[in-house]
Order: sequence, then C-alpha cells, then structure tokens
Amino acid sequence: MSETEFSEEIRYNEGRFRFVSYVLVVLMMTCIALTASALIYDFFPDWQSTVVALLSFAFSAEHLYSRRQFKRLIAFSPEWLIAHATEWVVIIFMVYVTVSWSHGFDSLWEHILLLGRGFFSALVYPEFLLALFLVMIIWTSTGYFAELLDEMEFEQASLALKIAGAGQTTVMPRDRLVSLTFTTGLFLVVITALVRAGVRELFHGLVAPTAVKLSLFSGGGASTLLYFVLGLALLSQTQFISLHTHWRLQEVTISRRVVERWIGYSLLFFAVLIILVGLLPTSYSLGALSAIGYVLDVLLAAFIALFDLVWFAVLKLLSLFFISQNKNSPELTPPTLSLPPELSVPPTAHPATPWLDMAKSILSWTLLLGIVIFSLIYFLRQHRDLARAIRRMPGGQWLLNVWDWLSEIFGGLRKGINQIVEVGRERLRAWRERNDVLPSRGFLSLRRLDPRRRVYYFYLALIRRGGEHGLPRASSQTPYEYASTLETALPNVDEDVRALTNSFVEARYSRRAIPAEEANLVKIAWAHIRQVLRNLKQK
Amino acid sequence: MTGVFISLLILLIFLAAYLRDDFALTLIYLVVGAYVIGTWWARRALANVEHKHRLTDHAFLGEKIQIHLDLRNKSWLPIPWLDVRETLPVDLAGPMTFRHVTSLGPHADSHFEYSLEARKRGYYPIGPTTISSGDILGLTDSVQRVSAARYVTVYPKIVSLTSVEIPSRSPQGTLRHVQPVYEDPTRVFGKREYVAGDSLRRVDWKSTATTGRLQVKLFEPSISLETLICLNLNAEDYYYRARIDSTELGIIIAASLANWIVEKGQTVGLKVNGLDPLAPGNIPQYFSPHKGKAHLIRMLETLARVEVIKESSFAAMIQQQRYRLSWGTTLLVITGQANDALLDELYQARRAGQNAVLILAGRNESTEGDREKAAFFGIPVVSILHERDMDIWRR
Repeated sequence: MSETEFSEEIRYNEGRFRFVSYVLVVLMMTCIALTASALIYDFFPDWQSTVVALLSFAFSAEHLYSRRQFKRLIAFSPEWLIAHATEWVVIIFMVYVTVSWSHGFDSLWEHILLLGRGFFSALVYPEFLLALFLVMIIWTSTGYFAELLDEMEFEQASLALKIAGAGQTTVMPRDRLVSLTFTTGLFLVVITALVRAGVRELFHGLVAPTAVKLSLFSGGGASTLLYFVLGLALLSQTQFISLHTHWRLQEVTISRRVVERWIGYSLLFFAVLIILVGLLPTSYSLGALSAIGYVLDVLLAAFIALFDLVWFAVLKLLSLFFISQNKNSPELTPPTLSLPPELSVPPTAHPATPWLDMAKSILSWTLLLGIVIFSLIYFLRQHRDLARAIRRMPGGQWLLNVWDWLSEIFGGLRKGINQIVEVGRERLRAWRERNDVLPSRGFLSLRRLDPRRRVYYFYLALIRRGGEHGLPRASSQTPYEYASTLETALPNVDEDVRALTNSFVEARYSRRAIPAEEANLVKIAWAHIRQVLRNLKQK
Repeated sequence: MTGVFISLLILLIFLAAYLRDDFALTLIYLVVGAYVIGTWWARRALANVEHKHRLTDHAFLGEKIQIHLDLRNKSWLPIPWLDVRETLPVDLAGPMTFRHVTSLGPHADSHFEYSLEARKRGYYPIGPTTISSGDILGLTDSVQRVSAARYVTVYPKIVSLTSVEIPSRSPQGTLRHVQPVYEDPTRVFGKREYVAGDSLRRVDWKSTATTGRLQVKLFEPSISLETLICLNLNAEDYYYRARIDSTELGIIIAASLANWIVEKGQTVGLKVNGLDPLAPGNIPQYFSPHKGKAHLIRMLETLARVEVIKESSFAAMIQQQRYRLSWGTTLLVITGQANDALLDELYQARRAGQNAVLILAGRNESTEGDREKAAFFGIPVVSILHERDMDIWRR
C-alpha cells in the first residue's frame, strides 16, 4: 500500500470514528431531553416527552451538521450573523409548530390563528417556552461536545501544539470531554433522583419522598442509565481519537489492526460490563443500603431537631417580647426528637432460601464497602494536600493514625493472603512436577519424552545402576554430593558424571528450555558411565 | 476528571442510601465497574504480554544488524492497543526510532523487524523496551512495562595487513627470517657441497651416497612470534585535539595487528588500560598470548567495548605484564605519545630479552621528540597518523 493510500485510509478511519462519536453525542442529547422531560412531566401532565426528544434529536444532529458549514464563515461577519439568525428562526418556528401540532391539528391551527392576532402573545405560552429552553440547552451542549471532539482531531491538535509551542502543556480536550460527560451525568442523576423521589408530591406535601417506589427504568431511570452507557461508549471512541492523534503527532507507526479491532473490543467491554451490572444484586432483604439509609435518616432527624431547637429558642425570645406587649401570646411547646421508624427488613421473595439472602447481603456489603474505601483511597491519593490539612486539624492526626493502622492491618492481611496463595501454588507446582517427572506406568518410550524428561530419565538410571553396583545415593545427598561420590569411585568417567549431574540440576531446577542436543549429550555421557559400571561388575 | 468522578460516586452512594433505590445502585455498578474492569483489563493484559528479541549480538563494521521483535499475548484477554518503544543507540540507528502501536487478540502474535547499521565499534544497548497499554475508556493513566536492554557488540575495524615486520628472538617458528642465526633444522631448502668447518650433523648422507661427494643440508632461518599488544587508552597520553580519532586509530591498529598475527598462526596477547563496561571493576581482561580464531574473537570483543580512561599509568601496566612474559616475546606498544617512564620500561624489556616496538597512533606534537628518544634507547618506532599510513604494512 502506497503512502498516499495509507494516508487516505487514516483519514477515512478518522472520519468513521468521528461519525460514530457524533451519533453517540446526538443520542446522549436525546437522553438528556428525555430525563428532563420526565421531571417536567411531573408538573405538566400534558407535556409531550416524545416530541421534545425528537426535536432534541433533530436539532442536535442539525447543529453537528451545520457547524461544519458555518466554520468556514468569519465570526460575527454579516454572513455569519445571517446564517445563525436564520438557523434560530427555523428552530423557533419548528419548535412552535411541532409543540402545537403534538396536541392535534386543531391545536396547531388555533396557535397559527393566535399568531396572526398577536405575534408575541402567541409565542408566550409555557409549554412552548419550556420546549424551546430545553432545545436551546441541547443545542448548546451539542456545540460543547462537538467543539471538544474537533479539538481532538489531528489537524486541530497539531495546530494547537504549534501555537502553544513545544513543552507547553494545555488541558487536554479529552479530559475536558470526560469532565463534561460526567458533570452532565451528575445533573441528570439529580434530576432523576428528584423525579424518583416524587418531587411533585414533595412540593405539595402529599407523601414522604422515600415512599415513592418506581421500577428501574421509569421516572427518567432508563434515559439516565442509557446516557451513561452512551457516555462511556463516547469515551471509548474519543480515547481512540485522542490516542490516534497523539501517535500521529509523534509519527508513530500504527498497525491497521488497532483501528479495525477497536470497536469490536469496545463492544466486548460493554457486554462484560452490562452482564456484570445485571448480575450484581440491587434489591435484597438484609440490604446494606437500608442500614446506611437508616443512619442518614437518624442524622437528618437530629439535624431537624437541632434546627427546631434553635427555632424554638428564637420564638421563645420573641414571645418574651410579646408578653411585655400583649399578655395573650400563644403557648410555645419545646420540640421533640422524632427518630425514624426502626430499620425494617422488607419481606424476601424467597423465604425458603435464607442462605441466598445472606450471600446477597454479604456481597452487597462487600461491594458497597469496597466502593466507599476505593473512593476514599482514590480521593486521598489525588488530594495529598487534604491529608496534610486533616493532620493539622485537632484530632486529625489521631484519625490519620487510625487510617494508617487500618491500612497496615489490611496491607499485612493482603500480604499474608498473597503469601499463602503463593506458597500453595508453589507446593502444587512442586507436587505436579514430582508426579510429572516420568510417566509412572506402562511402556516408556524415550523418543516420546521431551528433552527435559530424557535428562531426568538418564539421571534416575544413573542412581539406579549406581545403587546396583554398590554406589547407592543416600537420601540426604544432594546431586552434587552424590556426583562427588561417583567421581571418586569412577575416576575414568568423572567428567561425564559431572556433565550429567549439571544437566540434571539445570533441567530439574531451572525453567530454561532444554534443547534436544543437550539431552543427546547427556545420553552419550550416560553411555560412557554405563560401560564403566558394566566393566566394574565383570571384574 | 477525578473530582467529577468522585463527586458523582459520592452523590450516587447518598442517593442510593437515602432513596433505597436500585437505580442509583445500578449506576454505581456501571460507573465503578467501567473503571475497575478497564483498569484490571489493562494491567492484566499487559502482564501477559511476552516479548522476545532475536538478534545477532555481534557484528563487524559495516554489517547490517537485523532485529526481530516478537510479541505474544499469553492470555485470552485481547489487548486493544499496545505501544512498543525501543531506545536505540544513535551511533547505529541514526535518526531512526522504533515505535509501533499494535493490537493483540487472544493468544495472538505480532512480529516486528528492523535493522541497524554497524557504523561504529562499541557495545550498544538495544532497548530498554517499553510496552505500554491502557484501558479502552481512558479513565486511568496508561500502564507500562520496561524490560531490560539487549546488547550488541560491534567489532572494531580490521585493516587487512600483508607484510608486518615484527622483530622476534624466538627461533624455530613458522615465519621466515633473514638472520641465519635462527636456522630451523626442520626447514631444509637446499644442499651444497661440504666445506671445511661444516658440522657433520648437517651432512646429508643419502645425497652424499648418490653424488659420491659430501653434501650438506641448507636450513632456512625461521622465527616464532609471541607477541603482546599493549594498547594505551589513557586520555592524557593522546593529543587533546585529536583524542577521539587517535584512540580509535589505536584500537584499529591493535585489532589489525592481532588479526594478522593470528592469521600467521602465531601467538598473540592483549593488554589494554581502558575501561570495559562488562569486566569486573571495569578493568579490561588480560589475554595471555595464544593462537587461534576463538582467541582473536575474544580479544576483538574486548577491543569493541573498551573506552578511554583518565589517569592510568601505562608504564606501570607494562612493568606488571612483562614479568609474566617469556624470553623473546615482542611487545607491540600502541600509544599516543611516549614519556620517559614508558621508554625506560621498554628499554628494561629489551635488556630482559624481550622485543619492543613503539607504535605512535594519531596526531601528536611530540612525535619527533619521541622518535629521537626511542632511537636513543634502540626501540623501533612506527608512526601512524592516519588509517592510510597503515599501508606500510600492506606492501
């Protein structure tokens, strides 16, 4: 393949990855619209979530397409202003028509008539304004994502490098993209939590927030989860784009296989991740979350009680003032601490298998504690200044000592377990090797043995024949000690004995591959020794 | 990124606890799972990558050194990207670098091949090889593994010599000589009629019987050569402006002479006072005079590796060596300049029955003075300013 063809292929691959990234961005934006719609729907039951999601999808895609065209225009030039103004007029018009039409053709006609009567008043109605606001957010967010994706491309990256100069470091666009994805996700989680907590009921004081129970995918759950899955897929794509750009800037030769396999491996990764997430327990009877939730409830109750106490004190002071003015002031009663109801264990779906619940509970506790400890360690590692600040605080040193103590214990525990595992593995290996030295039964074919085992065979033959000729090997003797015994008794073949012993020690105790030539040399040495031993017997 | 990631995680844990909601817990699993699986995958996959170099670790000047790098993924876990870098010596690779990015499937192999040119003698590291990889999402920093370098020895240049005149006092060797004092009774080259004074041991009785007159055998004089090449790599003994070229020239002279002597089937040894990175204490190994190609190759390996040393007394080194040598051995002393201590030592060697030839390598301001002083002590001097001056040994 010529250099030009290869460059074209690189460009084609980059284009392909960019296209996939754009598709992911558009889908993520649609998920944002759906989650936001779930919240709006709580307040406006007439809200057409699907229509707004479709609008978001369309305008997000439109932005990605048109920004490529608009890039050619000079910023704030008359052409640029006209292009953007017309784009927004079209967006507003389309949102207006679609939102009106979503309630039926009559509604659309009514709104058009209203438009004829008074332009501004017709535009100002909550559903349209909310839809427009949401579309604007989606449109702008798409722009942010697209901007970052463009920055990651080779041409822009090399230009940025030239402008910044060698040795200058700037915040990598990919890092900013990761932050943007997670920050947006953070907002979506808050929105979903509000929806799932029953924010409308909370506003109207109908029920307690925790009383609303929804399935995993309702109340914005599905779109938020999908947003995160798509976000992770986008991170995978952008990781490739970022790495590819970095490699190209450094003129590294890139194998075609990297490009070809990336998407496949990404899909494999997500499949493993989704299967794992699907298998892990999320609802259980002896739940760790219930316990933590109870602790949170107690803390909240204590906080409310404290607040009531302060409030009571303020009112009391004010009432004293009122007493002096008016004798008929209302009676004030001191607040009481209302603790949450005791931790209740929800009934299990499988009462016949308590061990399964127990296992699930242990797993969930382990996972949760693992996540918390992982987060803490990760956070402290990234914020070493914070650890120093804690140390300076009163009691901070004590806390960190406890932390160090716990780390030491867990570190020791881990080392101990590793050692035990390692010792066990070594024993197993030694046992296997002991059993694998030579086949124990049946006809032994030397040709079928590998060189290492052939060396074993000749050495074992030496021991056996040596024993038969009055030169037995004591169980306490090492191979070298036995070799010196043989060398003294058989001085004619001392070099052969030494060579055979050395080869055996190497075959037995080193992991080096034993070549067939070495096994052949050992065979020759053994033939010499055997001849001498036979002569010894004849004498 | 870390801040947002941790904030998201903390928020999710609180939401999961407060709402008792499986949605938050599922999201925790998803986010943490992506991080943990990604990190585990990258580390585990990298740990299972096996790399093997196949290369000719010795080369003569001008040869191509072919380097094969085999990568193998020993596990079932595929590796999305693998960045392989090798640090190459500039003297062999020039501006070329080796950096490849590849991907390895389960139990897959990858093979790379490149070549270096042996442009300069030396002992060069090929590597270390750095292999890095990372998770497919890029949530964590890439992990890398650095493995030890392999070494290549490039032998010094050998100039093919044809007629080197090295004095020797060892009779009955295989080299022809002009002085009749070194006649070799095994090398009969003719007969003549007996004259009064000829030893009866020289009489050829068969020829005498045939011709009917007394005939005596004529023997060809021959010498055997036992040589020790002493190479001075003390930086201060070379002219500072031409130090690098002169020391390299000294090494070329030593290698060429050793090659010529071995080709002639004679014994040769080597003593250098430079630095050898492989030798214990960096002191180059002493090679006592021996014959054979294998011995030559060992000496060339040392000559390939040696580097210039600072502050090393060459005269003291010769003094130590000459007591080990037998009578009649020739010392070929290669140095940049000869000081009084060195000349005195060579004079003492002459007096002890050894021969000494002083070879001055490279440019030096005091060459003429050294020649005069050496002539005073009766030590032959050969001055080699450039490589082409070695033509005096090629006529």
